[in-house]
Amino acid sequence: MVNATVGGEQEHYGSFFAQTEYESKALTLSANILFLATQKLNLTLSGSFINSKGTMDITDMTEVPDEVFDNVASADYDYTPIIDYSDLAYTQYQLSFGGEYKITEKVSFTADAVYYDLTDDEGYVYGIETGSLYIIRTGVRIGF
Amino acid sequence: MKKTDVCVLISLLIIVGLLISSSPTFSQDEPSFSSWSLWLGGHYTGLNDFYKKVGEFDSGKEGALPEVLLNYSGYKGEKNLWFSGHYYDSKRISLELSGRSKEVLSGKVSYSSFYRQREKDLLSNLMVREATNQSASPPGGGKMVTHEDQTPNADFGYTRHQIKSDFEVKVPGKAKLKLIAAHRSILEKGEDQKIVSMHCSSCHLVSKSVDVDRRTHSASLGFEINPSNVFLSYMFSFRSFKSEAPVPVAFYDTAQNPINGTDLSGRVIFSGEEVPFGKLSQNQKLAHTVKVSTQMGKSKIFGSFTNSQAKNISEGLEIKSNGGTLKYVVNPSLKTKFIAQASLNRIENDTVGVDNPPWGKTDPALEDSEQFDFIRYSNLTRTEAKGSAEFIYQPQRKYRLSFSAGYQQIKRDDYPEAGADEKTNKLKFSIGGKYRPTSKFTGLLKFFLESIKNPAPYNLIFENPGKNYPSPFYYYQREELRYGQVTNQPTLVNGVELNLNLRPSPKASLSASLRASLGTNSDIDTLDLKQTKLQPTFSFNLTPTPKWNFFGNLSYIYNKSNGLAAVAMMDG
Repeated sequence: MVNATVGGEQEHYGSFFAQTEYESKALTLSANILFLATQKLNLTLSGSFINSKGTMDITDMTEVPDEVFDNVASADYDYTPIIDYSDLAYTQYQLSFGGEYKITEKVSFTADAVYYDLTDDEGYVYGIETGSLYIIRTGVRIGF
Repeated sequence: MKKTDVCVLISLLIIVGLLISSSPTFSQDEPSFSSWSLWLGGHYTGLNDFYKKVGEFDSGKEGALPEVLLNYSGYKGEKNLWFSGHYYDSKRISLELSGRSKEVLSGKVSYSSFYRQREKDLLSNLMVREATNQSASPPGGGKMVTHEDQTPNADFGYTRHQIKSDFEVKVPGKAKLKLIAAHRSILEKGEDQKIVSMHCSSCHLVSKSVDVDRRTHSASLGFEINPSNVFLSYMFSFRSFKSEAPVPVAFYDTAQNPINGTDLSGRVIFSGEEVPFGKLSQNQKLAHTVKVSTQMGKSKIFGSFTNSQAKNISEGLEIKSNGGTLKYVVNPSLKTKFIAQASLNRIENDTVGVDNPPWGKTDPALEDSEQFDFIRYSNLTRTEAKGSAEFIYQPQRKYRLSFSAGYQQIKRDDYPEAGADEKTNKLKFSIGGKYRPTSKFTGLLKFFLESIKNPAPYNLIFENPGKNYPSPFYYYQREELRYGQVTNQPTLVNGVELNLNLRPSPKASLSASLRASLGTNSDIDTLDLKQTKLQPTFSFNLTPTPKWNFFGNLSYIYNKSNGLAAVAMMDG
């Protein structure tokens, strides 16, 4: 529905509005695998994936009446950036792998690694947020 | 953490240790067990590109660091003690000590900290200057938006420390009296961004770095008593918030026309002066909660009442609430169950008087200055009443049917204007069934419908043409020119919920669900609102051999809604 409210020779022309459509989608996946390879060795593998998108469309924006366009000479009434500005999307995933090996009954060696990745190239407020981080951990567990 | 906070933590750890160890002595023959586990190692952190978002809760330092984990668990007779400590880096440390003695005394004290990286609003999307023609050729007009970053190299973030303790004492006796005490302190210290916005001659936004030193303390004390078939509990809770950081100060621009230098200071409250901004209020909240339940034959009755007061001490404002609920459950026969619930809540939020200095006092064109003082009434001041009834019928072990109906009314004293007493009424209905032919399959299906009358639309959003008054009095007329309603709240919602659980063998289980709803609103004069929501999920757990275990899940959320975009058409 569109309704323009324009009047005569006034310097003030009120406002007009148009119908929009906003859509958001978010997909989340996660999976884990545990494997007891031997009595001394266990392994884990896990991952997660998130993809989120938001878009807005102006489904029916009215033409700006000539009267307004001519009188308000400094405005071009180009609404395309409104739609672009509303496009939001990011993808994030995480992968981790780890294992623990029993050297003796009370001493184990552990090692694991995790990788986080974010892709967000929209960059409206904080700039491009695409980046990644990884952590590698190793150590020895002693029981007593 | 401050010395006093460290002392509190150490004292709490000592109290738990002493309480557990001071319990009655036990026989040397009592069984005992103790186990220590020490992990010594380290971690290497690598960072690529912009890491402050993906590593929001990491300290954000690249390189190798040592790491230590220590665990203890043990019991002797009816006493047990558990300890865990983890040093990840200087900003992420956790300690926890818990114990229980003879099912009489139990306690847990913990400390945890982590660092949260904060991103910086670059303000770069706010750089606009008014065009004076449709080709937007320079230099442009006097209206503009500019920004300034006073700390371009700032690395925002804060460390969050949490100290938490819980204690329970069961007093021996028939009354089954239990005393409960809990405490939590959250301390946040670091540096963050605050933005000052100056308006009138030009919109100028200034980004500043400010200290963070926020302190939240909460404590609760109460009891539970269960002498026969009556259960009674009372809980008093207290929470306080205070910022110890100095209140930031900003220099507000001297208000003048950026093109010709005309003095505009009469149009703004602050001009050419240092002004404190972004002050965090000191807040305090007190609450009393009483719960009671009893069983009478085939019936059970539950009741609760809560009284709370939240105060903004800095400004002398208060919000009070009183609310109670009643629930009645009865099994008229082995195959039927009836549940009725009712609740009533009253919230009163203080009005705020906004005292603005006279406007236009320096404009020679105006004989008298204008007063723009106003009172802000709160939409939160309201009375909310709810009632519902549910009937469950299970003719056979395999089937179960349920029907429910509910009513809710919200009366807002001061919305959309003072004394309006506007009401939102909601009617809810649902019908559902459960089918479980064998232990390997369970299916649930439910349809629901909500009818909402007057879901509080925003009024007078758009503006008609018709400027008749000269400036600056035209600003009064703008209110008269407003029309139209906007809402994102439906008046009718239809939906379905489906849950399927499959367990073909002890080694595998699968589950799937779907929630879908359609909300509509044709009551407002500007839009036929339509909202679609879909949320399917799927999960599985497989253990094909004792050595392998797979589990995972998938969820998808889809939302679609129409709305309105409004554009002002004005000439200055």
